[in-house]
Amino acid sequence: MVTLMLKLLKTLWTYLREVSGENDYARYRGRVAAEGGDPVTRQEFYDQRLQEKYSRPNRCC
Amino acid sequence: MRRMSILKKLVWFLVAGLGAVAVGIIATSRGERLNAVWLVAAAACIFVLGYRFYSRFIAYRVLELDETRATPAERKDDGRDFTPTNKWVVFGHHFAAIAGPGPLVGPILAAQFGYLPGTLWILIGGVLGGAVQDFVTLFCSIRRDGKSLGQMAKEEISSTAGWTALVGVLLIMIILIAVIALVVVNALKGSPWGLFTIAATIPIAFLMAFHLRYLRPGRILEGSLIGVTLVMAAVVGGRYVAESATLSHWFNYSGPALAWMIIIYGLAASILPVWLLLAPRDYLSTFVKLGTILALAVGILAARPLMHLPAISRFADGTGPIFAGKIFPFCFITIACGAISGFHSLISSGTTPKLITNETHARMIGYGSMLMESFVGIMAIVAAGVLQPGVYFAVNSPAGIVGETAGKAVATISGWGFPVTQAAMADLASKVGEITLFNRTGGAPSLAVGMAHIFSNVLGGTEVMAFWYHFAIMFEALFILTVLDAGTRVGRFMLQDLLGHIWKPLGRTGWYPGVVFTSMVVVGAWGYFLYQGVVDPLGGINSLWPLFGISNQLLATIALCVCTTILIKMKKTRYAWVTLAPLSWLVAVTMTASYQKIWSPDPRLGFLSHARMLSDHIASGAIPAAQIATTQRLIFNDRLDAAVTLVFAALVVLILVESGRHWWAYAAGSREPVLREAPAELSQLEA
Repeated sequence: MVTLMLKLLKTLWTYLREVSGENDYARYRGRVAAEGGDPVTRQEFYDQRLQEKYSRPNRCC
Repeated sequence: MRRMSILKKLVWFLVAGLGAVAVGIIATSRGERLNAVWLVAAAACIFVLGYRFYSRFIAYRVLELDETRATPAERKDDGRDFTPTNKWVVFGHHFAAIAGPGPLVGPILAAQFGYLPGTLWILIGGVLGGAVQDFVTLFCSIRRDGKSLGQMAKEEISSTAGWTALVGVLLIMIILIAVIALVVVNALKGSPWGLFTIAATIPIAFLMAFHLRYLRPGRILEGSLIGVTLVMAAVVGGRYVAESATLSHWFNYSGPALAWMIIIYGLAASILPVWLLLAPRDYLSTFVKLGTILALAVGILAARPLMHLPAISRFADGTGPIFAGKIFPFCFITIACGAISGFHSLISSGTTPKLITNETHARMIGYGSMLMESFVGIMAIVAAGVLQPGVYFAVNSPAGIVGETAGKAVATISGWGFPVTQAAMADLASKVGEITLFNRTGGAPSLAVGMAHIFSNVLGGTEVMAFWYHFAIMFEALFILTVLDAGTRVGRFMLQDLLGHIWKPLGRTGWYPGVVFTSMVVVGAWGYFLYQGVVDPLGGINSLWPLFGISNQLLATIALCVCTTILIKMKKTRYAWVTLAPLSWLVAVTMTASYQKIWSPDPRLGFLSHARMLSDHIASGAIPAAQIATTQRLIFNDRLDAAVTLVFAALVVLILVESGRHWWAYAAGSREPVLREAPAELSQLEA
């Protein structure tokens, strides 16, 4: 039962990390590293994502 | 398509049977109190059936979703904008984006007709209209590399259609922001507890911003957890502010004063860097919103409350106090989000199509998310329905209709056949920690009272009703202000894009004077409508909410015209009824509502007749000299609202004529339909 609960919590945490975009930078870094490029810093990446996100309709009525 | 096993058939037969029983009980329940669980059961069964059968029909017969075809997320994968993403994650993104205040506030306002008209519209409109629009628009955008609605209208119909979409989006932004800001003003006026809580979210957002940008960049969950904890502390602390004679004075403002504060706040939010205020508030409001919606669903099932509002009220005749007009067309204008919302088509042709890994996921994300939103709309109806009708009308009716004093208001409302007393209202206000609950037009306070009723029945009893009320107010105001922040910013970008064609520097988003100027124009536009709504003796909602509904349905008309055109071009004309049916209904609703709002001889309904009535009053000397200037401003506002409505109606006609011209040419064979899809490539990803 405890194992199941822990597994559920872990799944929920992973889901929340994905939905919130917290995992985006790690994925981006991995991708750039695989391509042999030079990734931007976490802060720069965060800023760029926000600029993209809030320059088009992204919250409905 | 595979044949269904007997067991599965039996299960679906049982779901259909339960749905039919629930709808039957709702439809035949008269006189006795209906348990809200039947509404939830009917909605759950109808939505599940709609998803399983109708969306499947659209997916595989109409659109022929192809699981082997690469999506833009795969073909243009850049790890940023275009990224193949888990379908449940995209579902979460999409639902969080489409579910705003509309599905909560609209059904609350439409409950003046009783709970049945709104419920039926949400059930039918959601399954056959809103979910279809979202799904088909998403599909069309996926097949076109994630293009926006405006771009698709331009390429698949004509440049005129593209411009119509652009103007329509800008106008809806302005009206939307004005009306939701009005909801917040009416919820927070004379409410030190509510205002303190919302004011506290600004420094909390700054704190989160520094955490997310400098201390622990991009650790969104961590930052949000800190933010949510502090907001909950602010809700608790608000009671002490409200009870303190010194502090409460600093957070107690009238409607016009609050309107100015929101206008200044909107300007600041549009100019300030996005990481400082907008983004952290958005994280905060998204988590609070999703958590509260879930809690409301659990609360309704646990409390199983009885509906006190009548199934159909006497105001079906069009004389309702919250807004004037009969069920047709105004129930269908008032409830846009929750049944069909044109704004969703911007999300379905925005970020979402760029994240979808497989075309077949569009069904769950497009159709399924909308049904979830419709379910939120049903919960809002339940929250309104659990209130005593007298209380519901006392909270929602403007002073201009029921009277300036509490005594007059209860006498008027009781005279309508919905008994309510001053003592009962004072007791309720005291239980929820407010000075008064009269004349809180806008839907938010009555939703908060309903939610507080449901939550306190499950957890804590009446002692904590004040906490739950202010928690609900915080939840609504928080995400309304986030929509206001984000909408103002997007409106500014759109205006810069337009003005950039006239003078290039104005189009540069990095040029500060241009940013400030365009922000002021956008904020000035919605601020004007907001202020006019706040000082309107009829409550503002009476004029602004129908304008918002009409503009939203205008956008839906554009989206459904684009979808129908694409279906015809795909040689699926025999299935074009899938989008033509909701389109025809929306055109009937939008045009009738527009006509009535402009030209109805009833001064409460028609803008022009109201202006005429006020002019006659001035001419006859019935208006005191001191109020003539104010009355003339009201006359101007009426004429302005009529002009705006006329523009919306003209845009609907324009897009219909443009689309109809093309459909006719395709049918007559005088023009060859050219589908502008991205080239088909075989997907290398697993479905």
